Amino acid sequence: MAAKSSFKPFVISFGKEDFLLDRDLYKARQWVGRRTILLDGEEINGEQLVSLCDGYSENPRTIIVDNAHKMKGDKPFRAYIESKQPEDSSVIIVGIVRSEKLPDVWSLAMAKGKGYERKAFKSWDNSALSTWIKLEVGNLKSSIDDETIKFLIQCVGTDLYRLSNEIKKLALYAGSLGKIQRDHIVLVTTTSPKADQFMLSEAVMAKDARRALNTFSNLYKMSGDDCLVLVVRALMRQVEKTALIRSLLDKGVSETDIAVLVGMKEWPFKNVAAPIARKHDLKSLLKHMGQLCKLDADVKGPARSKRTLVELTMLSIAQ
Amino acid sequence: MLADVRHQTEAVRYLRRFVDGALTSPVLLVGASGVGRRFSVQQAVSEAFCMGERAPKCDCYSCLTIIQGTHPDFVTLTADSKDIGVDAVRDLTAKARDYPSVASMRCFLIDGADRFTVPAANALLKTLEEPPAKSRFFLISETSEQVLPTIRSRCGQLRYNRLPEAFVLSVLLQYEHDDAKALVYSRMGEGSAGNAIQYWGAGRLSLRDQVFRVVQNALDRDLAALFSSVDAMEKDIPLALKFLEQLLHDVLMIRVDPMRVIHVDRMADLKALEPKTSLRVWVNLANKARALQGQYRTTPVHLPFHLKTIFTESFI
Repeated sequence: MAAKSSFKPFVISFGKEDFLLDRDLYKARQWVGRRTILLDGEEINGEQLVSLCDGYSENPRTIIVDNAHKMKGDKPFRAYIESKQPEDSSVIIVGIVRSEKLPDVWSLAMAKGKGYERKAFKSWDNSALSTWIKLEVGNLKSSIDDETIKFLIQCVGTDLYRLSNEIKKLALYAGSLGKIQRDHIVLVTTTSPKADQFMLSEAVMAKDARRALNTFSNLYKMSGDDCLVLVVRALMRQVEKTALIRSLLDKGVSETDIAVLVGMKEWPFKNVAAPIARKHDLKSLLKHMGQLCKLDADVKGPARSKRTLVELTMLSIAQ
Repeated sequence: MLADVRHQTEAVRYLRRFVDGALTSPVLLVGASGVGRRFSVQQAVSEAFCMGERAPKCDCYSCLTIIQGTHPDFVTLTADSKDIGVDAVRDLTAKARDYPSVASMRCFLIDGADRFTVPAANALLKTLEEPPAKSRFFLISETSEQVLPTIRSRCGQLRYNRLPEAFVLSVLLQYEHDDAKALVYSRMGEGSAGNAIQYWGAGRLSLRDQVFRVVQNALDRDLAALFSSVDAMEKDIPLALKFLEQLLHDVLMIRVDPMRVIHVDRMADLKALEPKTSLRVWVNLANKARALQGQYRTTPVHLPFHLKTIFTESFI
């Protein structure tokens, strides 16, 4: 006899954000009072899955199929879905589809149950990420403001696994009902050097000298003189790209075409790269290229106080 | 035999002293690659070790194994993509202390005397200072300035000249049947038969044409095309820089002395290129390209970015 509850017989979670999918999987395993069977879609087929569902058992069961999009042999499973009563939750199938496109059979399952789309956050879409961070921090009974969130993203990067761990650390450090501050981030988090170089060069080009110097200081604290060559390389890449964009903008090429030419998606190009390029004129950008050439030779050569030389060039570009 | 070494009279005279047993101290052979530095040492050692009559094309055991590179008493150490490290040098100095196997002495040829790591150079100093009685050392480098002063001061120096164009051309004509192409490659070699053959073998005219395109893109002030054309030859940029220098030389020479133009096959394009900007800009660009080459020898700067910058500074 079918057990009656708020559970639906099918729960589908799909998308590209592994962190959120893993979390869904973890939550499903924690459902109380149910026996859990974890399967990998790569290793089973539809017929085997149905045989696990049909077997008689007193206990309600949750069958989790990870990598569900890789499961083969749809037919028996499709027939099972069609015959399943929507209020029958004695067996719940949780499908974790690690793909943006939901296969037909799992779409059918979702129509009879519940579904969650777990889109990956775009690295440039800070607003969606900010909302998520606020939610995470809120769940840990702490709070954080928008500026601090931006700083956190600069320091840690956009990887949700890292962000989640850093948020846990920060919430513990700030204490229950406390507010996470900028200083806490400097003290507690492990910064991501890769994200730092990118953020740094972007901040320099966005003429945000304060943010650029802060990021540089963090990076230098982490890796010392080793980071200088990488920072200069990141600046060179960014200045070159900005000069190219600026020259095309000056020629009157449409933003959509420029985005294609420089290999960027339209949204981040229009909202990030193009506004940055408009802050500079081509002449000054070409001058910065000359400065960076000198800096490149200095940081790789025997020059003294290399850090100061890098900071000077950063400030000169960010002016 | 040493008689086979052409157009290096001074070097041959010096190496003759080694063959006669009058030269025991280490020698630093300085000159551009492909002018016969390695070849002349090989021929000198061949003549010194010869078990036959020291005649050209001798087929005695020594002469044959030296050509094959398997003679036990002729040891070669080459810096390929890596610098010469301390382990290789220790191995070599250990061999130097041993008695020769078949010849009367043991000769060591180190190609890349400017490529020693500091510990490696230190490990070699003592041996160079007082070479074992039965060991001779020949070190090769493109310039003496790049060799560590401590090594340099322990060696006698021997300079190699660039080879005459007619000779390089005659060498190249053995491989290339198109006279015009052979002439361009021989001039591209700039007095180095080795380089000319290498460019011919790798079909480097296509890289030269890419460099030409880069210059045209810069003159057209097309930043996107300029950047992408520089990026397209990223791996070959050190050589592209050399070809750029040659092209700029040609642009400057085309009116003054067309006979000295290197890329004779692009004469018409060069003539069209020259009036597109002022002489001052061409000279400036040539100086920058030369300076960048020099800088790259000592500091591993990011060449594509630097090349883009010198073009944008000159033309845009």
